[in-house]
Amino acid sequence: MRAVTAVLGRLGGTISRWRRNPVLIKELRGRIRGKRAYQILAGYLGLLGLFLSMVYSVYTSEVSYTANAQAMLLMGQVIFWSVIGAEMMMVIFITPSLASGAISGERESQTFELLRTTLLPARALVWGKISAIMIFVVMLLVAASPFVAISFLFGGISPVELAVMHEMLLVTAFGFGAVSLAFSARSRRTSTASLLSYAFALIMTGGVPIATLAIATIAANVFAPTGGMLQSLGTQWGAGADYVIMSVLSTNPFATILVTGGAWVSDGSIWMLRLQSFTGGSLFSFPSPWLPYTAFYLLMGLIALELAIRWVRRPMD
Amino acid sequence: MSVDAIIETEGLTKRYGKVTAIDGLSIRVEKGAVYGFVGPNGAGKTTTMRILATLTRPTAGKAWVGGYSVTEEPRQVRRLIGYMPDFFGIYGDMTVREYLEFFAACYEIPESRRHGLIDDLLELVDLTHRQNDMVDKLSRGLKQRLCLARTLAHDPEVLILDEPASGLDPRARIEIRELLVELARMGKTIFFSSHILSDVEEICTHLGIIEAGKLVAQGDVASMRAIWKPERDITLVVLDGPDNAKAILSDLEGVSEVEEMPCPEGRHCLRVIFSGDDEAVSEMVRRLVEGGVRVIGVSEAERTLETVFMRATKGLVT
Repeated sequence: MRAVTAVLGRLGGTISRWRRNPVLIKELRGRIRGKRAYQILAGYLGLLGLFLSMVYSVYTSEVSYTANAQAMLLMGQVIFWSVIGAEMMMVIFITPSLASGAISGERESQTFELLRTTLLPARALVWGKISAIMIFVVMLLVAASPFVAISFLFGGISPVELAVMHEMLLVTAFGFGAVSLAFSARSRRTSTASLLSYAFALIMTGGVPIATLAIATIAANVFAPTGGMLQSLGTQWGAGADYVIMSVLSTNPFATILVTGGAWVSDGSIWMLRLQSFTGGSLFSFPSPWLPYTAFYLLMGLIALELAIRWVRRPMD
Repeated sequence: MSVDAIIETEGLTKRYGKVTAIDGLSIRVEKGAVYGFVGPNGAGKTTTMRILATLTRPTAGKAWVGGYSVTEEPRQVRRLIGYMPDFFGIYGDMTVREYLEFFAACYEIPESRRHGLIDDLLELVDLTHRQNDMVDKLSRGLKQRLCLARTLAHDPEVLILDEPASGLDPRARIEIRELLVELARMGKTIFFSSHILSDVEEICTHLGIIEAGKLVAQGDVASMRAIWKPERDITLVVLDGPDNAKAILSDLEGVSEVEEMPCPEGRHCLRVIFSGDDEAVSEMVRRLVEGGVRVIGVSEAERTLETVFMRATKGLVT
């Protein structure tokens, strides 16, 4: 009981310190005061609305969703997954723009050194910055919730799907935000940090599927049970290759949405999947990709923040 | 580290690649002193200040503030210092009061104390009437005063100010100078650099001259004047032709130079560069009078830091 009280006390202290973090307060105040936040919000909602209108037009030109209940449910699912996909795209490309100038911008505007000679710990500076970015992303997601709510008019979406997809959006924002913040802490110029952040985003969104395809193709040839170059090694090598392929694929946001959503829609599974082997072996079990995805992005984000703290602490010359 | 020194460096060296910004610098600033750190551009003043402010790591040597090592115990040093760089940015999207509140929070001032503290700081720098204005609407002089208020948020013992009056108009410069005098009166140790030697002369008790990364002179202002400008610059006003006076003066011991200067009609002014005490000056006047020179005025030019500076430095840059 005493241990629980101590843990709760410590947690309360951490939350209290976080709420009083001067960088967080300054960032939120500054962000809401400026025009940029409203421009981003307007642009984000405008694009999302436009995209959804296009999806709706295309779908209704092909199928009459009033024809039967099944068509209506499908309409709800199409809208939901389209909005989630678009939100994911926005999060991946808006978060670096918010984070890549967070620390390098302080350097460029010559305010960084004023901060570094105060008693503000580097940890508070970095966590204040990432918290402000996350709060802004949450604001964007909340602002877009009416679009998501449209899908509930048609049905076909469960609260579990809604929760899992929003959890994925948040960990994606955290992962990409933290990595961009680390680039910002390392770079003297925001332009360099932005370039690195967007290169990273492109690798994770475009590079990973290409790498997965390449690994899967090679593995299928090498470990195939019949005719494979290394078939003599046994099926466990092929099974190992399957796990590697799925692990790599689970770092890609869009592949993760597709596989997680597909498994939920087809057989209602949200925790474990039964998948066909890439190397021609038997069916294998793998956690639903959103689970390794969450673990990967949280871990990557935490490592990036630790690096950012170290780079903030270290004098540049 | 010496007992009564609040800032001390020992063999402080900083190299950037092949360029040596400061080279074996050993300075000592006593508690309560107003230490003017002067030197030509590129002499190493800013580098020294950045090391003392824990922003730059020295390549070699040691530095302490209040007995704490700037490299080993930077947090304790930051508690003691208020640092104002020569160029600094501001958060333009904040009001003057919010700006000070932000930095007070960064200096871990409890929320309950912040309001009163900020009122005091605003009053000290005379910005109370502008407290709700956005920072980017302030003039450069007011921004400078605001930045100075920021450095005082945690009531530091030592102020490290890099060119606090640079780029200011004469009025703003005088206001900053008066603020520094007030802060010195409050017992703060002030370590500041400046190009404006008249400002340094007016407010500093001690002086350090740096050139090409090396400290060429250091001490209290009076002794620096005596060491670096031992000669006296005396002007004599006489009624007769100057030749007789020139001849007498040239024969006197300690006179290194005699020259005639422009003077009102009917009078002759002679500038005498002379080494000697007040007795020797009196003796000089007596010899002139005995030699038939009608002396009607004797005055002495003040020994300015400008002369000390020009003599101590050789015009070298790193």
